[in-house]
Amino acid sequence: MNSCPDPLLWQEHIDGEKTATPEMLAHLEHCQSCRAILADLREAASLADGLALEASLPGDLTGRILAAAARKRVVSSGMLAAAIFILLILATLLLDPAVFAWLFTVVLTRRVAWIIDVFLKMLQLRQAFLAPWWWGPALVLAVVSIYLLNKFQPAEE
Amino acid sequence: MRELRGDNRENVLGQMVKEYGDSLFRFMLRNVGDRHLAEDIVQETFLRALLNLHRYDQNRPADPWLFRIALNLCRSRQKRQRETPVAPPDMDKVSPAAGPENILLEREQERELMQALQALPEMYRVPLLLKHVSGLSYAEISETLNLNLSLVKNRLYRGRIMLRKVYQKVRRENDE
Repeated sequence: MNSCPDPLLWQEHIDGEKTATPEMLAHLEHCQSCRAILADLREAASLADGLALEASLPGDLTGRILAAAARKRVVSSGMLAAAIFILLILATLLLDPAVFAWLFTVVLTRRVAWIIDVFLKMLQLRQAFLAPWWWGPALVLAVVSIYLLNKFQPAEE
Repeated sequence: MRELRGDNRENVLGQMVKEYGDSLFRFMLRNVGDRHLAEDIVQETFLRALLNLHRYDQNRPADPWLFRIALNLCRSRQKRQRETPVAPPDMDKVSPAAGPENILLEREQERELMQALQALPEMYRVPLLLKHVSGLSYAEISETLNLNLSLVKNRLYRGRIMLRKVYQKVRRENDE
């Protein structure tokens, strides 16, 4: 091996991810620069090893988590959103759309911005088409969309 | 994937906590530097994992998934609090057998090391912690952070060099 190996290869060797090949080791014997790199990497890794610590979780953690899970009502947020949506639609029949527009914009924008859009569109549609058969398909579509969005939302978020 | 209920859920949770709890806690302790906050985040992580067990492929190792949940929780809390984590000296590392001078010295060194660590950008700090505190392999770090393997190696390399440089600077400043 004439040219010096990539320092990342030395790092893999130090971290035990890959064993250095015989060629690399032979190269190391006569290459001062690589020996310096390896020593540098070892020193840096040893300093970072100092970050390791002995600490344990409290023993009752599992119990606490189970208790917290029991407290938390396992109501699907999709179903909850669908219920809110249905209530809101029913309420539009009784209240002034302008009040709803304000309420949605100010209070719920962050969480359900798209519901507001759908809702306001529906308010407009309501003015254009007063026929009641619009509500059924629109409701079903909204509930299915909410359910699917919730279903495929990753836990990490 | 099948829905887990009752005892089965408890068993899986118990096993996860047993297997990954301490490692996750140590990582979080170093990352946020506060025991209560770290405990809180770890508890919330496992709670989320428990509520979403049906979405998790149990044939794969759970640590990248758990670390990812924990990291996102950590980020969102820090965003909410709008403050950089500061490392307090409440870690359990110093051996009780050491004399008082050694304890002081070790605490001082640890404080400086934590100071250097907190000065690193998150993109270097997190891979370093995953490697040196939680002992994850390159592949596991890559899965946890959703980065390709060469980027992980690069960040570890740069992170270590940067940590040493900042640590030396912190020591110099403290000595003056």
